[in-house]
Amino acid sequence: MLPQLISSPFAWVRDQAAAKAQDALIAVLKAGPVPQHVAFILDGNRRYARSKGMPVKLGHADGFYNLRKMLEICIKLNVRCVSAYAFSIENFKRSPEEVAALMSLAEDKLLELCQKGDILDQYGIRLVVVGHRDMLPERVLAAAEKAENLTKNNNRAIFNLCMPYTSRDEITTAVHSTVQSRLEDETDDTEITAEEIEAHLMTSLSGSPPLDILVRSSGVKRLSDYMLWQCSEDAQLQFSSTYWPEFGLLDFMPIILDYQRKVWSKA
Amino acid sequence: MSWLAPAVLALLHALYRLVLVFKSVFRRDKEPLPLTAARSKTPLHLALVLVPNSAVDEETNERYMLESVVQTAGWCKVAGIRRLSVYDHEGILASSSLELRKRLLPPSETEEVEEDSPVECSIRYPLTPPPSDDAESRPLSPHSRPVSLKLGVTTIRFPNNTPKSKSKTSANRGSTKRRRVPPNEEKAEEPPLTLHILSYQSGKPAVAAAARAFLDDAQRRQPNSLNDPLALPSIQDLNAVLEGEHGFPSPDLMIVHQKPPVAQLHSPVQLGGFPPWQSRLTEIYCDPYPLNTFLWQESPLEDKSSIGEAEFRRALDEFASAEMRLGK
Repeated sequence: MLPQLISSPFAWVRDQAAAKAQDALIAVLKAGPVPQHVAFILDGNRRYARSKGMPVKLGHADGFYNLRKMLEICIKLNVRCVSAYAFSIENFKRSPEEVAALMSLAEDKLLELCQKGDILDQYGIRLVVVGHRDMLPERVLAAAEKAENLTKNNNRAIFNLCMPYTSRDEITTAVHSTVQSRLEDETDDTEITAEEIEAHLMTSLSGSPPLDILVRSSGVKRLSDYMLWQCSEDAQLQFSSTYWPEFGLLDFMPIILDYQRKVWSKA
Repeated sequence: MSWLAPAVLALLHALYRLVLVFKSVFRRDKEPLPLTAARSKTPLHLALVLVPNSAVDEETNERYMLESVVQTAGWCKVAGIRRLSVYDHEGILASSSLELRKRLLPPSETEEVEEDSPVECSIRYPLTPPPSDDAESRPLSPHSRPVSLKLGVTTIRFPNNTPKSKSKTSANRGSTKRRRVPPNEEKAEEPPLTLHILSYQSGKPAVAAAARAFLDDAQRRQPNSLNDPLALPSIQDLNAVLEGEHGFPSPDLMIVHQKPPVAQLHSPVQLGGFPPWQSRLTEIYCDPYPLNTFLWQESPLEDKSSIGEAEFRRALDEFASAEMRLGK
């Protein structure tokens, strides 16, 4: 009892100091150029959970909290658009229990994000669910649409929550809608260009600027069917060895510094 | 106090730069395993993405890239990699495909190639579009082959050496001195290699070309395809085109390499326009500290005329240690 009485104000002071330090670092980084669009592959929740002896479900929950934290950091840095690979179409291959747990988590968190005063509202973030929506369970889809509707007039930043998503699905859908609109407008006989396909991508339709940085946590150095089109040219690919739930501002800082070095070297 | 944040940022950058210099100069990577070492897994298909150096002239870049392809093809053959894709954004390699073919054919083959003998390796160039009357071009159903596609991929298949000229195979010894095969055993066959030469055109524009082909197909199939869901391609359909015989399949491992000397101490990898469709599950390797490689390379007197073998071996080592969960 006594150690707790001593340690909890201690912990409070420590947390306050950490928060102030974080804000100070953000203010410093913001003084230089900042990427317009950052994408995250949220990898390593399960390995993180196993390393802590936690059930996988809790790893995903911690992963969500960290997503919220990183989203907030990005918005404070003036990043205009954040995309996150929350669930891949390939993830449906996982055990039914895990998929159900993830869908339930998604539904809860989407509803949580919708609440007044929560991060979307606080920072004026427009949420867009990017992916093959009809694969989502009805309740999750309903929660997603609710969040989208509530935030559709927010204009400070865009949050692309990619679920369930694969890049090939996105590209194929873009090819579909391109072919579809050409079939509808038979007068247009011009060549189909890459730019036309790009304009039909879900990220373009949500109004996202071009991708500047892709960050993948947990040390894996692959794109795994995420934003292949958007990454393909001059997006910087950053592979961090930290597991996603532990990825923080200190891991993000060298990524921002690398971006600034690139911008300044071109100037 | 508005000067404080920029000042601290400048300090932060100075410190960061110091860290990068330190890593560049003092980092001593473990020696990579030899080419022929048994690794837990080896890529079946390797991609080499070459980035020219804007500080040197075009000709130097071209020579460096061609030499890098030739060297890499040799190492692939030794390491047992059967398929190599080489990419550069501008298409420098694509426009030198004949040169590459000449340099990659084993010496015995080039001796035998006379004017009237058929060349044994097959080159598939990107097809030119058919004349405006395309009534004769075949429809693009999943089972028929697309004929009117420009996918920007040049494919060259290098055959085995024919066993008839055993004495001539000794001319190949020079390029294969690192093989495990003891020198006195006659090895009549050189491993086959399929080479795909790619440029920016093989990527996003190829997807657009495929879309065009599907559109033409849909328009031809029936006057009003709007309500026919089968008219629109599935992922598998698009894949069959892009990874089919006029395209190229997805590589397992990609090495992104810029011609030295590299301006930046350390910069994160960029794909430079490499075809997006095929990079889905590709392991990406890029030397994080090129200056370090430059300083510590195995033979400092070696002419920096191409990518170094150590970098190639390091990429293979990294590939062998990568875990693939495939979504599960």
